[in-house]
Amino acid sequence: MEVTTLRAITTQISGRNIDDFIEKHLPEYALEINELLQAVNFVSRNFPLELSPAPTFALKEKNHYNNT
Amino acid sequence: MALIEKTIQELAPLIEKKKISPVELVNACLLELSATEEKLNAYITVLEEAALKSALQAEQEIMQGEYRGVLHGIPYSAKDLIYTEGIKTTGGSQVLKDYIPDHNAAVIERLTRAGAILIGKNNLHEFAYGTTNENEYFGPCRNPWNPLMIPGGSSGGSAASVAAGSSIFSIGTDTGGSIRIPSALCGVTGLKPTYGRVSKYGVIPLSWSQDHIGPIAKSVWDNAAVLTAIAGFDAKDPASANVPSDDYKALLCETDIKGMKLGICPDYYKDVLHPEIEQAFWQVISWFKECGAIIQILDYPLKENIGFTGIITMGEAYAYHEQFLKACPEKYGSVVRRRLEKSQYIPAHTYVNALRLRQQDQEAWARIYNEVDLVVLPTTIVPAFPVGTGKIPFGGEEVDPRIHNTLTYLTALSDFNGYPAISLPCGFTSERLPIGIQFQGKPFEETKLLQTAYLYEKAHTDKRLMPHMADGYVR
Repeated sequence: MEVTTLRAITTQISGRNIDDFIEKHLPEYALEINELLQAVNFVSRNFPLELSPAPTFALKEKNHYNNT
Repeated sequence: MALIEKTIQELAPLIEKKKISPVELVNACLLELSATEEKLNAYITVLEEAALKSALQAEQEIMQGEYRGVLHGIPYSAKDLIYTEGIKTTGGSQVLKDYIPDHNAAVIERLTRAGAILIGKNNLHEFAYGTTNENEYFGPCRNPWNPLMIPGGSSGGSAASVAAGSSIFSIGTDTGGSIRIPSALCGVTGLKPTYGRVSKYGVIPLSWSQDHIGPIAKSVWDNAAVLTAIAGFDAKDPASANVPSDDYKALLCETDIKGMKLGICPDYYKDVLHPEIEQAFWQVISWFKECGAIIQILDYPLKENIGFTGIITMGEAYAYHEQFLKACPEKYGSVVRRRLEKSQYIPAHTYVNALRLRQQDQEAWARIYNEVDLVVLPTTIVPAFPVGTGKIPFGGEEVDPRIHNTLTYLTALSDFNGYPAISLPCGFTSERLPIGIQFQGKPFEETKLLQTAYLYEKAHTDKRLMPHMADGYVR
């Protein structure tokens, strides 16, 4: 992501003001977010289509995993 | 042996038989607290008056024959992320520095019913979002084995207080390893139960879908005793699992290592382990082999999956903190604010893909646990390092431990899959810093996990020490 993109997300999507702290860190965020997204994309491109998200609150039963 | 050196297992019969009074025990802990606190900074709030009042009440109840069980009259502390009615609960942040909840967290309620006595609220990494416990507002908490060192985090004050003896046990939280990491670095024992086993009601969240509540104490038996008191369904927590729980301490002796199948995953931590931790780990494995356990090498987890747990944390943490970040961003410490602000840039589909990977991960672990009983791992890849450290080795590179997932490398996997895991002491480095070993078990099978840890602990009592038995203790 570009710094300009992050700046736009901050104000237009997050509804935040850009202060000195955020502005100062945007170049680091841009670099780190790019690395993170690339890592996720690398793994997720091999996901089978039928793979659904894990429920946010899973483990309701003791045998939830043992039955898999 | 001084009272503060004793475990719950040793103290409870003395209290029940009226050989010692809860007042005497609370006073001993408060004395230790006042002697060590200036150097350790393990507490944000100390409840001297209230604790002594509760101790007096416990003493009267016990004298009248109303003994409630092994936690009756036992002083404990709680991470200051856990709501306490009428008592400041800061989350370790200036943001909530004056916040006083009007109700208790479920875990506090259960411990109060069991007769335990809250002695104070522990320092932590701000809002539990970090593992060094270098709290920028309340000051860093320090390691009782060497106060120049971090105690680990985020439940650093909890582990430091138990190691120092100012509380007999503590309650911490674990989202990426925050119970087990400080337990390992401070030489105590900490349990992260299965996700949903202990109610999260009344605990400030970091990541709703990965937060766990659990005990930190001197021994496995003590962890089992506390888990027995705090486990169980709670309708107020949407993640609470309606699964029966046990009297875990009563079942500790009912297992045998011979024939037990233990999984290890050396490929996962190859090239990143501190040499003395690696040596201690293989000594543990050798002991299990000698006892007849079967060791199976696993080709899981995968290194490329390590960042996914952080993505879930980022998305959920920003959702919780959004209003505070809009209203008073300057009240956050710079490191935690940096992490939280970055979290707003995670796209929704990336968060969902992390949840999809979690589904795949849970299925992979389920297959593994068809073949093994437990998985054994070191708890951390490095021992405690000095407060203020900005670079530590990670494989062939140097990373900033305040931001990088160095300390959570071997613990976050059990928060991602929700499986129970325990860390207990297994040795010391040449610099006399504790090393932890970690067992991960099947979901809702804490009994097996505790039994195995108990057998290891019983055979290695020399690994479980308190720091004042060592040179250089803080007092």
